[in-house]
Amino acid sequence: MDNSIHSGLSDLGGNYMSKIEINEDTEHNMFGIYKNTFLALTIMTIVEVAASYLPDGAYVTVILLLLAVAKAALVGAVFMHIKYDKTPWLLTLSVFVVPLAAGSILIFNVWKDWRGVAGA
Amino acid sequence: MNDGNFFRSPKRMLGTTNAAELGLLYFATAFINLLIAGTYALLIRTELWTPDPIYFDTAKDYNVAFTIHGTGMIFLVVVPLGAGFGNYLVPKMVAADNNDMYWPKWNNVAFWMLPIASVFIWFSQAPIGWTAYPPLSILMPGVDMWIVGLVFAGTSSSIGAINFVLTIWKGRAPYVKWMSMDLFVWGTLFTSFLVIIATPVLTAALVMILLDRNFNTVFFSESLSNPILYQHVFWFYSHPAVYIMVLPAFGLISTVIAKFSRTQVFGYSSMVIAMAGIAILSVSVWAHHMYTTGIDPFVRIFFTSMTFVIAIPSGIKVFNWLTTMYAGRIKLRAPMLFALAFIVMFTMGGITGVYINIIALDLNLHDTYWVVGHFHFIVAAGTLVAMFASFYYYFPEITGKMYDEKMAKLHFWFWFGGNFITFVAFQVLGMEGMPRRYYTYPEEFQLWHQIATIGAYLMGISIIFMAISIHRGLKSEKLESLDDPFELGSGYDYPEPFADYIKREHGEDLVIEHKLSIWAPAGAFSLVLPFLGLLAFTEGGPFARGKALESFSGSLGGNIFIVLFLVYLGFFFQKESSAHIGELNPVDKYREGERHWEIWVFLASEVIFFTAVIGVSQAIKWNSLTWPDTNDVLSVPYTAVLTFVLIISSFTMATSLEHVKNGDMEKFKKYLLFTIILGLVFLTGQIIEYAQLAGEGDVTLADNATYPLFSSIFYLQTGFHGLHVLVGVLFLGFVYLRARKGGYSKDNHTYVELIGLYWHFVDLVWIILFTVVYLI
Ligand code: HEM
Ligand SMILES: [Cu+2]
Repeated sequence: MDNSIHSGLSDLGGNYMSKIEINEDTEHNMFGIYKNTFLALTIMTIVEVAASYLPDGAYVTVILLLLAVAKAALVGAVFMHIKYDKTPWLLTLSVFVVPLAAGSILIFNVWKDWRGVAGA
Repeated sequence: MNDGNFFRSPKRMLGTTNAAELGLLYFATAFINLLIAGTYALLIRTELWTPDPIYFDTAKDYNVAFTIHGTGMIFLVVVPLGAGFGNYLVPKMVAADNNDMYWPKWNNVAFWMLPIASVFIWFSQAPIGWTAYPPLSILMPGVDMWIVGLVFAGTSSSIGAINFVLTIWKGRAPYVKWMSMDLFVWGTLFTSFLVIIATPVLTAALVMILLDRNFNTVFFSESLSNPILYQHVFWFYSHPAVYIMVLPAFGLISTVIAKFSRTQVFGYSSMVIAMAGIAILSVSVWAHHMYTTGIDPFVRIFFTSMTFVIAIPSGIKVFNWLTTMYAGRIKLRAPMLFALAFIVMFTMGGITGVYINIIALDLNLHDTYWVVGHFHFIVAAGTLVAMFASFYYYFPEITGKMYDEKMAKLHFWFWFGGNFITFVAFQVLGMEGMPRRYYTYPEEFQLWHQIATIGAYLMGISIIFMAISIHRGLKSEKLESLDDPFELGSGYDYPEPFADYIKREHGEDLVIEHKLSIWAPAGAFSLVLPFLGLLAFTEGGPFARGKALESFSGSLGGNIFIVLFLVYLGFFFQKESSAHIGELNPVDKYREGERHWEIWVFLASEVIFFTAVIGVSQAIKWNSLTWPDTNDVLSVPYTAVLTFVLIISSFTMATSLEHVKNGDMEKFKKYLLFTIILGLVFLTGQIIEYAQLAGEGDVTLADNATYPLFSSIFYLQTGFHGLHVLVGVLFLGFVYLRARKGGYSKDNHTYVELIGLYWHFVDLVWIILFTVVYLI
């Protein structure tokens, strides 16, 4: 990789490039936050496994899905630092929501346009 | 820029990271591929001169010819040409720093995947049509190799697309404003978004075919599942793919028309909005390829409406071009002639397209030559013509010389005439009911077939004129000035190069220098090894359908390829991990402090990939009558432990990164190692799970499996995820090696951050998978 231009640039004060600041206040207790997140994820996983033994039913499915989404959101927000980004909504929207929405159009039609009943 | 020696030095061709040079390599590769795919076209047309066999002995040989022709033209000619122009033009048009792409090394990797893809595709000789519909594609030989080729081509364009997005988004000089960029930059940007969104879905579809062929899964089985499923997934990629081809052409042609009309593009912002509209709408029109499949009527109405809507922005663009010319003074040099041809042909293609979007008409015209005429008007007569126009327009800039105008005009007239004759003949044949993809036909079609064949030969001859024009141009004298080679009153006018700007503003002299990298192409080539291994395991012989599972131990060739790859990998790790950090790290000081879009864009494409894989699996599940209770067939507590392992690994990864940020290198390395070990534990756990399931129980892919569909989606989802974990572990191992050699520091740990994000993402996917696969 060639750094010739860039090494020069860094001395120029970077006035033409907006910088994204990461919220520095949280820096110090990050380890604690990670630990708590980890604990929360563990507890939710235990609840999930327990719930999966309940008799099948719509409400169990809903609980399980909500838990999965909550866990995924935790990983995204804390471990992937989306929460600490300057514009969390922009990241969430462009990386998760839009591709999910585009994919869902496909899935909806695949489901809707299924021919016959799938065999065993 | 081109000093002529470039094509004489294999080392430079292999190792170049210079976008302009890679652009030339794209052109050269695409031109060679054009000759090959064109030869196939002529063979096809020769065969159709009479209803009797002339060249091809069997229908299958004929099928091979049109498969290779179509796949080649789309994936190895037109798409690469877009990437070639992108490489050559985009860094200049956005005054990217160093006049290069954002990731020069990856740019090299992306290019070298293309010749690899070409070789696989040319040699596959698959007889399935470029659309590869099952059940045919599951039964025929050569398809595995064809798929491997397409995966290489797709990966190449995905890497290229991410690189374009980053170059335009982040590499753009601060003084290049969005709404003053050349329209080609916009075209490339939207195309790149489409590639990023759609290509992973194609990969998913192709891998499902591969699994159906070799591992006894039943995704597209006629009796157990739904072969039409493939068409949805395939066209979800392949309709956007037609716009992936045409959007860069829109951009190129806008510039040529404005230049040769000696005015500005009319309606600049409406051009940008139209392209954005096309890009967004193009993911919701795919089922117009499936009107005759007995599709759900509700779905059909939705798609016919959306398709009519997407024709509107294309129409807007045509009117803008016409207005641009009307407002200007036209000069008819070869580029302009081709540009005019583009407008005519694209309009023909668009109008014939609107016809087949009328369901009542498509019920008759589907799978006839009408459709073949439609897309040839758009792709061969349209998109390719736009590429010719721009090729001639930029020829002086690329070579410093002028092509031969007379020959170029002959090229134009023969090409344009040939296009028109052939494709109009196609439309007529279609209206009369001639179905596509047959190597014989009833007598009454002969006249129009012969007309089409004559047109095809005119096109073939035109390429000879093109070659002569280039050849004469290269032998001619250097032009004195490149400011305005066509005497139009204005030249190529790119924005001021970034280095010049720095010099003027800050008085600092920056040297533009493009380093050679031999590891980049070596990396691309090394990826051939595991795929050759896969092919050895799967193709023909004892590894035929369903036997691949048993044959891993049995295939000597396959094992040799895999071992070679591992050896290479070890060597590469050893070598690269001790390289100077500046060599390796693509993110330099200039971009520091900004968000790491490179990984986020990649993750976005991963999100759509897993949405497709998980979503399709769910759709299969919802439509099945018999579905096992997961608690009976899988071990939930066992997997819960694996889930727990992955969650800990996310925690250790995050902790590790925090330590390197604080400069605590020992703890950084320790937690990194933990993460790797946990990743390995997870993988081992999954292998054990697979082994147990394969041995006994209901989740098998054996011929007499109790739950073939459940098993298919189980292995698809967990398998793809496992592959991601494996890749993650490899990258983590690499980072760890580097870390031990002191490669990272408090201020320099971008790679750790990137791999960390990837790792957490893989964990996130597993959290979802654990619920949808094991719990509900
Ligand atoms: C202007 C609006 C367009 C409309 C309304 C339209 C409509 C259609 C329809 C309905 C079909 C399916 C026909 C059938 O199989 O029965 C089709 C096929 C096709 N179109 Fe278009 N199209 C349009 C533009 C384009 C563009 C811009 C491209 C390429 C850049 C394109 C490339 C293709 C290709 C390649 C096929 C055939 C694929 C195959 O079956 O092998 N179309 N089009
Ligand atoms: Cu389409």
